[in-house]
Amino acid sequence: MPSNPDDIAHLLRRSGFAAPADQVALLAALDYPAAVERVLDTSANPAERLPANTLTWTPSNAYQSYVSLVHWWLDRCATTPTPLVEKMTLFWHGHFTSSYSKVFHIPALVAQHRLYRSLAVGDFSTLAQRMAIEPAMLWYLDNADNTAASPNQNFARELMELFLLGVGNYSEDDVVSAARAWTGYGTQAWNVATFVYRPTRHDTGAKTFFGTTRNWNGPEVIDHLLTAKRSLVASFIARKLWAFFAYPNPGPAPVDAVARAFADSNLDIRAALRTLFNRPEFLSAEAKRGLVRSPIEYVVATLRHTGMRAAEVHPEWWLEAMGQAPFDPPNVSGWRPNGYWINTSALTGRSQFASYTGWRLSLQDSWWSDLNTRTVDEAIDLGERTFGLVLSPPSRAALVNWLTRQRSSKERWAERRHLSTLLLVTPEMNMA
Amino acid sequence: MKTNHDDVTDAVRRLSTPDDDPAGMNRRRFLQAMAFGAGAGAVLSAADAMLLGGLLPGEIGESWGASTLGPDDGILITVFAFGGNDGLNTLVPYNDADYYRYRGRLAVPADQVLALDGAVGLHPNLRYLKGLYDEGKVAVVQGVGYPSPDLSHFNSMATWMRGHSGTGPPTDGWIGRWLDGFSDDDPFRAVTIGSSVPLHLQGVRRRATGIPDVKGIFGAGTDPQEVRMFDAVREFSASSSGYGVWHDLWAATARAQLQIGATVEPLLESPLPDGPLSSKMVLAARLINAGLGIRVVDMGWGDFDSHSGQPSMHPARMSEFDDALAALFTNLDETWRSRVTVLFVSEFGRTAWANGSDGTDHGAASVSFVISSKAAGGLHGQHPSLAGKNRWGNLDHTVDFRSVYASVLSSVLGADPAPILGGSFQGLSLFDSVPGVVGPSPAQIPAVAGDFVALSPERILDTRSGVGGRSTPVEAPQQIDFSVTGVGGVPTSGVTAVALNLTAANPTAGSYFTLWPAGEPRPLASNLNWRQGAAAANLVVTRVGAGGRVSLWTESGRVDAIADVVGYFGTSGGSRFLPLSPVRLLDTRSGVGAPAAPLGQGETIPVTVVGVPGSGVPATGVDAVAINVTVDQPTKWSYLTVWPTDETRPDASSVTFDAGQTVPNLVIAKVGSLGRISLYNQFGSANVIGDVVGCFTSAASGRHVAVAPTRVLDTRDPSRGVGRIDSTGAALRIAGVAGVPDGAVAVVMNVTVTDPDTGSYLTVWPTGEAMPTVSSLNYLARSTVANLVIVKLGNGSVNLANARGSTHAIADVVGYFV
Repeated sequence: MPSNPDDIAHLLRRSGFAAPADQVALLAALDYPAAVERVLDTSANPAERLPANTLTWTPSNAYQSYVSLVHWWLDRCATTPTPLVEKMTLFWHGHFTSSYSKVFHIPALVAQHRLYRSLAVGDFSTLAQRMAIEPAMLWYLDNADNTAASPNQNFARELMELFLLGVGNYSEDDVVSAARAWTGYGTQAWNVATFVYRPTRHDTGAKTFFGTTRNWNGPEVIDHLLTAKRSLVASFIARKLWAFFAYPNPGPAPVDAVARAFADSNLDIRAALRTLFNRPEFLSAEAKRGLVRSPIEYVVATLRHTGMRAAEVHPEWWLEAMGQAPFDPPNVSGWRPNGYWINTSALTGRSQFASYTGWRLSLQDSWWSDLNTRTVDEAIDLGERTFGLVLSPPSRAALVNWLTRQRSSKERWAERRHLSTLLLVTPEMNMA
Repeated sequence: MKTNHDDVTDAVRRLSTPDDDPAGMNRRRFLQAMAFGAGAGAVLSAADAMLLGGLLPGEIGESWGASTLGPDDGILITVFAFGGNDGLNTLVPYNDADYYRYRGRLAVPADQVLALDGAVGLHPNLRYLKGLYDEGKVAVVQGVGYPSPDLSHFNSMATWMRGHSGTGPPTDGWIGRWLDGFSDDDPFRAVTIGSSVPLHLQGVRRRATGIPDVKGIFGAGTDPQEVRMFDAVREFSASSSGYGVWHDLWAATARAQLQIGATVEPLLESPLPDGPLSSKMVLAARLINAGLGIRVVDMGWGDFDSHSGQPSMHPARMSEFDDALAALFTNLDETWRSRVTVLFVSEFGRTAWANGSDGTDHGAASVSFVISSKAAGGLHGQHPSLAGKNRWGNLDHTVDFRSVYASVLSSVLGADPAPILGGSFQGLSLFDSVPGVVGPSPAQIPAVAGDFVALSPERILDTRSGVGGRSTPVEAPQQIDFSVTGVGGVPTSGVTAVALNLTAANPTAGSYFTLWPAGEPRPLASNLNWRQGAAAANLVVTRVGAGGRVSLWTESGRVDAIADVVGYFGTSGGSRFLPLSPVRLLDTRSGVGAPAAPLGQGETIPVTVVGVPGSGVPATGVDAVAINVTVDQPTKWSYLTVWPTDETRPDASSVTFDAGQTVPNLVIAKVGSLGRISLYNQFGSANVIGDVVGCFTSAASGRHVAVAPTRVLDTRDPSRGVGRIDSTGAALRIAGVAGVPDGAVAVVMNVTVTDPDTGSYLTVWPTGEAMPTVSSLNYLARSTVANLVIVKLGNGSVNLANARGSTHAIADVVGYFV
C-alpha cells in the first residue's frame, strides 16, 4: 500500500538531509513501515576513503587538514546512499563531543569520527566503551591527565551528566569515584593518538560507586551505568534522539516508547530509531514544523539539491558564522536546536553562503538553462522542485513579485543566480 | 592535549572562530566573502523567548541598535596584544641595573625613556600615551598576572579571556558573562571588530557581534539587483506562513539581519587608515559616534611574540598602539569621548633575560593600561622585582588581572564584578569617577526599573536559629534590620528590589509584619497578618534600603521571623515579566498537573509549569513562574517548599499552614529541569492548587518598578465609594493612579481581606477577561488574611470578586511591571 508522499519526504529529510523527488517517489510506493525499513537498511554504506592529509598529524598544516576533513564529510553526507549513517554520526558527534579547538589533532578526530560512523546505528554499549578510550576524548575531557596522584574529574562528570544519565541522577561522590576509576587511561604521548593504559597511574584503592565499594576500573563504571541504570540511560538517549529527529521538549509518550525499545533491545540504536520513525507523533504537524535545519544539515541539503561539491562552495568559510563548525562544537554539551541557529549574525552566515552558492551555480551553463523561457510561475516551480521545497504563500508571493520586477528590469542575466540565492535564504529551505 | 610553545596565531584562532583561508584567497577577499563574522545577540534563549513572547513577523528589528545609554553608562574598548607583550620594554625600569644587565642590547636606553617617576618610564614610541598620562588620564597597572602562570599562549589567553578560575575547557569569557546579564537582545551592546568572536566576548547565552572592517555586508547593497533581493527577503515575513512559529521567526530574523547590515555598512564608506590597530580604532570611534548604544568594542592585534627580532618588532607594536590611541581620541565626538575607557592587556610578559637570539621568551607578569578621562591617573600596583632572576626566571605578579577587570566592570560597565569573575578581587581603584558623565558625578540616581533574577530559595533570616544574625524572636513593638544583599545569591550592588517569602512563626498574639527599606520611615502597611499561635507566610517584594538592608516591624506580641529569598530585581540584567491570565496548572483534588491525591508527609511532586498548552507560559526561555499556591484541607500544621526540580531541596518554606486551613500564598518559583518545579510537604497531607499568574522570561518586556505602598482600595472607607466585595465584584483602576504608568502590564499588590462574613475566596483577574476559576486569597469567616498578588492589567484595571458572602478588602499597590 503506497504511503503519503508528505510523510515520506519528512522521513527522508529527518533521517537524512534532503528529500529529492525521485527518492520520495521510490519510497512512497511502499507502505510507511516498509519505507522506514529501507531507511534503516544501511548495508550500502560506502567504504571510507579519507583524504591523506587527514590521517597524519602535521601541526603546521592542521587547518588545511581540517578543511579537507570537513569537505570530505559534507560531500559524503550529500552523496551517500545511506544518509541515516551520516545523520547519526552527526548526532554522536554532538553527543560524545570533542573539539578541534582543544584536541587540535586531526587524525585523532578522524579516528573518533570513524568510530561514531561504524557504530552509528549499532550497539550503544560498545559505542560508549570505545568512545571513552578514543584519544580525542581522552584529551578533550582531560582523562589523559587523570592519574592517581592528580585526579581530574572532567570526563567522569560529563560521562554521567551529559553522556549517559543526565544531571540529578548521580551524586558528587559517584563523580569522585568514577574519576578515580578512570585514572591511568591515557595516550602514548601528548601528541601520539594511541590509547595506553598505565597501571602505575591507576588508583587501585577502594571506591564507592553507586553504593558498591571495590577497586572499580573505568570500563566497569560504564558497564555498571549501562546495566544497573539501563532505563535511565535509555530514557536519556531516547529524549535526545527525539529532539534531534522530531522536535525538542517531547511529552512522555514517544520518549517512553523509544526508550523501551532501546532498553528491550539491549541498547540497539537501530531498534530505538525504528520505533521513533514509526511513532505517530513523528508524523504529526508538530514534528513536521518542529525543527530548524542546523547549518551542517543546511549545507548538505544545498549540496544534495544542487549537485555542487563542498570544495566548490567552501562551506567552511561560513559554517562558523552560521554557528556550527563541524568537529568544533562550542562546548562539551554540543549544539542546541532551533532558536540556537536563529540570530542575525548566524543568518548573515547563511545569506553569504547563499550568495556565494548562487553565484557559483550561475557559472554553470547547464544550471536552469531554460529559466528565461519559463513564465514567472513556471520558473518558481522549477526552483521549488530543484530544492525540494513547498513554498508558503508569503514566500511564493515574494518570489513571484521579485521575479516580475526582475524581468521588467530587463536584467535577465541575473535571474538564475539570484533565484538560486533567494531560494536558499527562504525560511522553507532553512527548516528541517 | 597541552603544548607549551604553540604558535600564537593558532592560539588566537583556537580561542576564536576560524577565519583562515584554506584556498589561498587573500585575507581581504576572504573577509569580504565572510562579511559579517559570527555572533549577534542572543544565542538560544532570547530567540526562543522572542518567539514565544508572541512576536509577530515584522515586529522585529526596527528598534534594534537604538538602545540609548544611561547617563552613567561607560563605554569600554578592550585591546588585546596577542603573543605576550614585553612589559619590561613597555614600562621600563630605567634605574634598575639588573634590567640593563639581563637585557643587554634589547634594553631601552635610560635617556630615551619617557619617565613617569624616578623608577619607571614608557617606551619612547608611546608619546601620545605619555601626553594622556601627564593629563592624569592613564592608570598604569604594574605587575599584572595571576598565580601559577601557564606559559602556553592558548592556556594563558584562555585564562585572561575566561576571567575566572574555572577548570575544564574554556567556554565563556568575562565580557560574555556580563552580556549574559542582560535580558534583552541588543546586537550592538558588545561588538568585536573582525570576523571572529574571541572567547572573552562569548557568554553562556549571548555573545558579541562581529563587525567586519571591509564593505559588502548582505543587506547593505544599493544596487537595484540587490535591493530587489532584499525586498523579497523582507516579504518572506509579510504575513504568517501557516508553516509554524520557527518558520515565521526565521523570516522575521532574516528581515532584521538586513537591517543590521544596512546599519554598519555606511560606517565603512570613507576609507579607514592603514595601521593594523588604527583602522580598528577609527571604526570603533565611528561605531560609538553613531550612537548605537554600544558598551563594549573589542579588538586585538599582534604579533608580540618576540622570541627573535625584538629590536624591530616590539618598537613597531608600540608605535602602532600609540598611533591607534591618537586616532581613536581624534575621531571620537566630544559627546562620547569622556565615556570611553581603553583597556590594554596581553596574555603574559616576557622573560627578564634576553635569550640568545635577539629576543625574549614567554614570561609572566606584565603591564596593563586603563586609559580614560575618569581614570585615576598614575602608577598602580608594584613593579615586579628583577633581583636575582636566572635565565628562565619569571616576574612575579603583584596585581591579579581580575582586580583590573573588577575595577573596570564596576566603574565602566556598571556591573557587580564578583559573580562575573567568580570571586571578589579588590584593592584597585583605577577610576576617579564614573566614566559616563562630564564633570563631577551627580548624586546616585536610584535605579527604578529592574530585571528579575530567580534564585533557588535560601533562608537569610531565621530568628529561631540565628540565621541572619538574630536568634531571639521579634518582640513588639520592635524593629529589626537584616541584610538582603550579599546573601542567598543576591549581589551586593545593582539590586532594585528583593523578593522574600516572609514567615511568622510561634506568634504569641495576633499581629502583622511591616517590611520596608532600611533607613526610610516605616509605612502604614501590613505585609503579613496572623492569628495568635498560627503561623503564616506571605511573599514580599521590597526595595532595598541603606546598606543593603530592610527593616521589619511587628505591632504586638512576640513572633519569630523567617525570610527566604527567592529572587531579586536588578539593573545588571535578568528576565522580565510576562503577565498571564491566571490559569490553574495544579490541582491535586482533581488530578490537574499531578495525580489526584493529597500530597503526603515528606512527599515531593514535580509539576510541569512551562509549555503547558493553553497556559500562556512559553515552552522555553522561562526562568521562573509566579504561581499562587493554595493549600486545601491540610491534616496537620506543615509547610510546603517549592524549588527548582532536580536541585537540592532547600531549607526554606513557601506556604505555611495550620491543620484544616485553606491558605494561599504567591510563590515566585525558579524553574528547574524540564520546565518543572517541585513541591514538598513536611507534615501530614494536604491538597495543593497552583494558579500561574505570570512568568519571568528573557522574551517579555515587563521590568519591575517598586513604589511606596499606595492604597487603591479600602472598602472600610466609605469615602472611597467601593463597598464590601461580593460575587458581583468590583473593578479597580490601577494604571494612571498610585504612581503606576499607563503602559504598565501588571501590578503587584498586597491584598488584605478582613471581616468576611463567611469562609470564601477572592479572585483577582484582568479586567475585560472572563473570571478564571482560580483563587488569589482564601479565608475563614471573620479572619484577616493578606496575600501578595501579581495581576495582569486589562485596560489598566483589575477585577475582584468574592465567591461567597461579602468581605472588606484592602489593596496596597507596591509595584508594577512595565
